[in-house]
Amino acid sequence: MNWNAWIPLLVVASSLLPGLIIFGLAEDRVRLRTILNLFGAVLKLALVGLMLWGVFHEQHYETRLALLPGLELVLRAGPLALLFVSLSTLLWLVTTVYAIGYLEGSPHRSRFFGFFSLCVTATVGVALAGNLITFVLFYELLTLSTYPLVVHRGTDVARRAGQTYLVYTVVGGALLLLGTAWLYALTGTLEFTPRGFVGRLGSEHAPALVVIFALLIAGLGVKAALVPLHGWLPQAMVAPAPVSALLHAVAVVKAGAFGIVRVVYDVFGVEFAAGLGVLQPLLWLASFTIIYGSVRALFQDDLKRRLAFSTVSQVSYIALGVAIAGPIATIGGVVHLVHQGLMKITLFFCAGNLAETLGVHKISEMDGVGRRMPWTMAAFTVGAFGMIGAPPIAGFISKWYLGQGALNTGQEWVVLVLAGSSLLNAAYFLPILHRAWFREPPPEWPHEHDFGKKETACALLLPPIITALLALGAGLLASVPFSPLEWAQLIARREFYAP
Amino acid sequence: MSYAMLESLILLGVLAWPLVVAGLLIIPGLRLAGLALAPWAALPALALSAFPDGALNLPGVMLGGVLALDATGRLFLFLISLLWLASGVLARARLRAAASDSFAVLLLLAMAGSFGLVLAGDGLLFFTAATIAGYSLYGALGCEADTQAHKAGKVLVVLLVFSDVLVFEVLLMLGQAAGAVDFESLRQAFVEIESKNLVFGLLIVGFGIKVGMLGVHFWLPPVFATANAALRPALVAFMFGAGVLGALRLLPLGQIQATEVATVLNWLAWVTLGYAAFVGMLQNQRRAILGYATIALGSVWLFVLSAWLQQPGLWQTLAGPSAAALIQSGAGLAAILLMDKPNNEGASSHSLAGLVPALRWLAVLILAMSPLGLVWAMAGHVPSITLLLAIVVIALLAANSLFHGDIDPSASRPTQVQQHIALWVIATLILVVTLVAAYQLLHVTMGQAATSLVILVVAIMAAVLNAKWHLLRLPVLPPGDVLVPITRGLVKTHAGAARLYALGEEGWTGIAQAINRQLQPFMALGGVVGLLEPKLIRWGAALSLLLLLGLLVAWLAVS
Repeated sequence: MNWNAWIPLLVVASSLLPGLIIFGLAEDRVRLRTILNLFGAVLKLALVGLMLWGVFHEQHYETRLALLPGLELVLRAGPLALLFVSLSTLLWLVTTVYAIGYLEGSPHRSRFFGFFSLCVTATVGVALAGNLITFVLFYELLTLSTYPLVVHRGTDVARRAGQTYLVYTVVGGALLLLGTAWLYALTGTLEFTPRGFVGRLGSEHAPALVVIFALLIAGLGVKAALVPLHGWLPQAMVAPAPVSALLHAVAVVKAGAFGIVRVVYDVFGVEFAAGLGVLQPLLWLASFTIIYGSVRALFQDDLKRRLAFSTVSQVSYIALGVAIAGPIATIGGVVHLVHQGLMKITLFFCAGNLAETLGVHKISEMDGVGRRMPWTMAAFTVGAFGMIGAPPIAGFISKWYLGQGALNTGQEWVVLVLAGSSLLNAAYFLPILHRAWFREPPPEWPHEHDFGKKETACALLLPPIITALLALGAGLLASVPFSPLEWAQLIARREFYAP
Repeated sequence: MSYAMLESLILLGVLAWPLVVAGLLIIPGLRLAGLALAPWAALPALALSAFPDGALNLPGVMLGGVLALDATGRLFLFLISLLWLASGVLARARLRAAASDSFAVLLLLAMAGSFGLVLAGDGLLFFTAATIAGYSLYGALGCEADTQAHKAGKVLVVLLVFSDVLVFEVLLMLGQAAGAVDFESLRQAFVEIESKNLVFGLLIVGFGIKVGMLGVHFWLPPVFATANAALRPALVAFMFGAGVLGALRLLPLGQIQATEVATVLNWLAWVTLGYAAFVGMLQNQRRAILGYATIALGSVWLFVLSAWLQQPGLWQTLAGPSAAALIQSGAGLAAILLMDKPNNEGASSHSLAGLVPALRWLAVLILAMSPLGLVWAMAGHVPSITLLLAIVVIALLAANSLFHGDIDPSASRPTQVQQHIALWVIATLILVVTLVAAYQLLHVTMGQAATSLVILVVAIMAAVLNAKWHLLRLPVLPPGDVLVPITRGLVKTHAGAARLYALGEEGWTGIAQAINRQLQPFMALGGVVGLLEPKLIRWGAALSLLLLLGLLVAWLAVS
């Protein structure tokens, strides 16, 4: 193997090895654990940066290892893979810093950070998977590594949430595996190919292919929280804030949404999938999920639960962009993979800060919180406006391309869905901001920690500020080279216009 | 460095300067420097309005943005930066107060957004600037401790969200049809797009919200009534920048004829005028009445828009007078708002206090006469009776708003009556001046019919003023809701009749004294030079500047 063939493997290993070592560390080895965590995250970021530069200059990065007769474990860094892997790597670094601050002094940190690293390893594997079987393997590893994080607190509520999570995701994984096996039986290959590999079968297998598509989307839809498979997500918000950030922005839901993109583009191919008639139901489902999630979010008083329903709604923008089946909507959907991640992780970091610093968990407790924690709430404000789709924050760019894509393909009603979603997002985010900034704070907070002159610990404050600035930058500087939008355009060109 | 590059840097600098000052405010060591610079942050923009046309491509910003200064932009930049200068100067006392950093940062963000509105060379940058300016103003309004201001802010933000969604839809449709987002392409797409009426509807309601158009005006009276002094000129700047300029940038005026839409707009202008006159006269909150005067002013623009859409050829004819009317109305409105009595704002001890009533009446005159140039320009093209009535209604409402501030609520009932009569006399004088000027213009086109019309209008005005006087003690009405005044109006009919009877028994002996009291400020004008020289500080300077400007434009428009 040449050097380029090693890099994808190194990217996976850069979190796997530190994770395995961390499992064996005693609880009091705080410094070593921190060094390992940060070293792994920074190394991974450097390797991903290297691959980004290389792919931009048409370098090829691919690792192939024999898995089973006729099946290989393939890791490949294409534009789509790199978009997701860059997001997860960058946000992993930020989340690691946040988690170190968040869990300071709490028990079972070695276990937590061990699984945390495994979770990122699985996510990066999902992103770099070069065929469906590699994807499925890492997808299942993701389920297994996130379950201990969901139940980390060990309370009854956390265990019940973990159980729900496991039931949903294991069943989803089984459906995905079934669909994958059936597809392999039909085609004899699972290799992700630009414009898909299923199309070569022709229309004679159409009924079977429709069922396979439904199996794959159902399996992926669990993690992507498509209604009615979303039930686990609002419950899983009992997990610690860094885990919620990981679930909602970096790993789990994103893996599901990313899988949908892979299946439509690199397994079935957009044109063939549209010809089969499977994209229209996906479009309806995504539209329904967008509105449903927003409506449910309106009625939640628990902040993280409101954010969870917001995720249900927002992640479906990705599926929407794919299902519209056009180059412009593809850009919108794919870029939202990154944009939603940046905005949502900001919101969860802020929710974590409020809980850790003031003991504030409910929206009804947030009166005047902006005066006590102005930087945290400034970051929250950026994230919230981004979710509404206000420019110049990243969410606006996604909505612009989705709307343009819908009009371009003659599906004007989708624009109404987007408008409705914006109004609903405003309806459930703006009252929070009004309460936080303009109402009088209470005489005392539910459970306040004293951080002296600072509003909270630096390790908790810096990550949301950084991610908020990234969300702002991704929107304001959307057209600079290497921006998420530029990568999404590269992906769309490859899918729709490449010879 | 070439001149073009220098101008490009200046364009960017003007936009960035308020943000830099805001940045200084949030860095602890530089806060004092930020506080010193904040009130004057609009000066670079004001200076830029004297520069020639220029443009700056920003390929990495949004979807490839452009900053540009053109003739229309220069006009708006002049008006908006002047308003922001007044706003900054008025905000000085507030900025010095402890815990005012949020207010200051939001004010500066809104300022940057307002300048962005003018300098945006494409639809997306314009939309971005409108969003930043609008929500920052909402935030600044929310910084008030007053719960009424919070309620008004909520109304504003809800309507802003709706407005933004509608404008976003318009930009999506035009952008998709054009394949680009620069204004020229968007206007061309408007000409060619099939669903023109839909785009018209979305655009008019979307931008109409921002100028307080009837039906979507609910934010305007309560926000005017509760905003602090510093925010009021900023709100006027936002209305002109995000509303009027937005519509001007996207509508292909002169290239498109839309008779149906023009008819709808014409009717809307009439209804707006009637509504503003009726509900405005029934308000008992001084600044809320001004809100309705502003809504009446909106009818002028609806009418002008209707004329443009009916006769595209009028675009060239009306462009100049429209610009003059824009500047004059903005200056007049801002001057009235600036001179409003501060409520709990701790700024009532300024040395020009004695002049304020006189200047206020002058500002009413400037505001009311702002559409006169348009009447003149339309002569022979479009019947401009709507504009004449708009002038009357604006004058009536703006003058009416002054009644509330100049009457001492703690005075005895007979004294109040005397003060009312005195004000009535002064208001009538002002309105007669307005009508005479309007008559001069109308006479050119209507001949003797103008005389009858003016007499009719004077009669209506006198009737309304009298009615208002007798309904003096109506309870405070919630601004924006037409049903409440109608219902309460019916209930109060009986009480009003009883009050009329009671007034007949009041003494009339102090009327001359009351008139004298009201005229005293005018007498003080003689010594204005000696008074101004050492006292040109704080808002007095901004006030005088705006008034002088308004007078100048009024004179230019009429002559």
